Amino acid sequence: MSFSFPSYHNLPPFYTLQPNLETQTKQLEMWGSLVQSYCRFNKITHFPVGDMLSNDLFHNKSISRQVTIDMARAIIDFMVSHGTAQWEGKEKLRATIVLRTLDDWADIIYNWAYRVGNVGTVVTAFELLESDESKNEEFYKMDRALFRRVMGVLEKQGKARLFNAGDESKEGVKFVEK
Amino acid sequence: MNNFAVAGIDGYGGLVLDKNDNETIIHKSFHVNLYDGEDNRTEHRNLAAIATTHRLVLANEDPGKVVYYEVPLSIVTSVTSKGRALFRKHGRVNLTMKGRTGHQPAFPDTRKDQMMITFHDQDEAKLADKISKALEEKAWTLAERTRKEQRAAYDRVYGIGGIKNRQQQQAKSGDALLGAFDDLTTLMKEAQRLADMAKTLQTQQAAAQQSDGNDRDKEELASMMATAGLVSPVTKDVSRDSYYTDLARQLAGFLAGPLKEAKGMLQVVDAYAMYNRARGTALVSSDDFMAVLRLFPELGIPIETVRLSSGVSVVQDSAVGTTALLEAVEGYLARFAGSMEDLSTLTPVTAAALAEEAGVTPILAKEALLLAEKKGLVCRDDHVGVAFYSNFMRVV
Repeated sequence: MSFSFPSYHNLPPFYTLQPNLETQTKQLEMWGSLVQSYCRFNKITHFPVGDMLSNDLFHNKSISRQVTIDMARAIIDFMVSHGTAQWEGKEKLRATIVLRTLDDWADIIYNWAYRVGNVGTVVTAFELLESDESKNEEFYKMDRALFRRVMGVLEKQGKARLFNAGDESKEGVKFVEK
Repeated sequence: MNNFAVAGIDGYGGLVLDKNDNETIIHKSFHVNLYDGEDNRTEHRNLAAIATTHRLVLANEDPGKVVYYEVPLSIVTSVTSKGRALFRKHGRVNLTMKGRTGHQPAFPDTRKDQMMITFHDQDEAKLADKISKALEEKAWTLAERTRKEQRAAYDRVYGIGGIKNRQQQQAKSGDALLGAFDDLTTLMKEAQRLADMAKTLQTQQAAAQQSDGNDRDKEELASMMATAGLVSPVTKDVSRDSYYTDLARQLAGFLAGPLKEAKGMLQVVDAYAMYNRARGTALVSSDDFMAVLRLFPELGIPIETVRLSSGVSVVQDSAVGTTALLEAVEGYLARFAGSMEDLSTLTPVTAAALAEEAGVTPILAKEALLLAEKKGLVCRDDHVGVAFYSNFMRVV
């Protein structure tokens, strides 16, 4: 299954940076969302701008239109100012895409806990993140440091308690009914 | 307290807000007392404190004694509030300011850049909060910021180039007609040819009238000349003083028809060529033409000469303005460029296509599209040349 692009991805003006300020802002917003959705679907976080120009995200062969490097940078700049991307280094050659915010992850994991009936019980981080049962979940094999930050959000929301934080082999979570 | 000035009142004794800058009132507290510096009592008691997006205003609203004291937030450096406490009978807000308002000071100079107001109604925190927010948002700099952002957005696409220089030049001269006749040489040659031909015809007609020739031939000749618009041109020989005024009226009369057909707007060069072609003899010079156009407003003739953003000069029916241009674009989009309900139906509109459909010159059609782009009606596709689409990036 490949990513399905929205209908405006097939319209030539989408690939021309608009001179009208209001239109341009909306355009960058649309591109920002699209880049994030595309990267989420293809599990891309590493974004080398130059290389991505030839990708079917930025290069629509069916209408012979392509985003220029300057416009691509403007798109990433917009995403950076909205917290959905970060530049790696000063030269604006490579970016990291933020696929999910901490709040997004918190909701996803808590909903999972609810779904599989883990609310009220203690689950180890290993079981949650790396067991076979979680193989199809988006958070499968999530980085532990990120995981702790996500748990921090759930703790603040009163939806979870983290145990043995920092001890990779022992840390666990208890999800609380909310 | 030195930084306060007396604020303006309108005819009804109310506070005057800066409408151009969208100044709005964000909070009003009643029953406050004013203290100079950190805690020196003053005789100003029972005032209202009105916070706006741009100022803090202290008001005495007793009928007959209404007065407002203002300090612009741009010189306020800090605002704090303290609530009622065991040893503090009234909540208060303290304000520190830096610099002067530039207006006549409202209070005698106490050499203090601080002031305090105490509250009877205990909403000091709310006022301080609103002022803090206004200090953050700096609404008084919004116009400047928007201008900067507009420029940045445009520059990002086009950069600074000869276009900007040319615009600056034209702005300096302030004359809408500057450069309107730059490409006129070819037209002049054409007009001259036609004028020579017309002169021959006129001579023939004069000769024919004198002779006892065929009446029908004379009529035919006369009607031919009328079709070509050659009917008793006003010439300089007739009267020097009223020359320009008479010329102005004749030109206005002549332009009425062509203007109507061209949806209220003609390029100056086109109007000039048309007019001289119709005159046949005693062609009007471009200087005289420009002088006459400038006379229109004086004579109450509702035809204005305007320079459009692309540099093209046009004569336009005052009643019509740029509305006709926008309507032409909207009409075209609605009929030929697809529907926003289904984005896959959207098709481009070019200046050439619009010109043909709307019955205007390609240059005016391009101007119409640029105007529509400014209004957010269309967006552009810069690939080979420029084409425009309905602005799906506004609606989506």
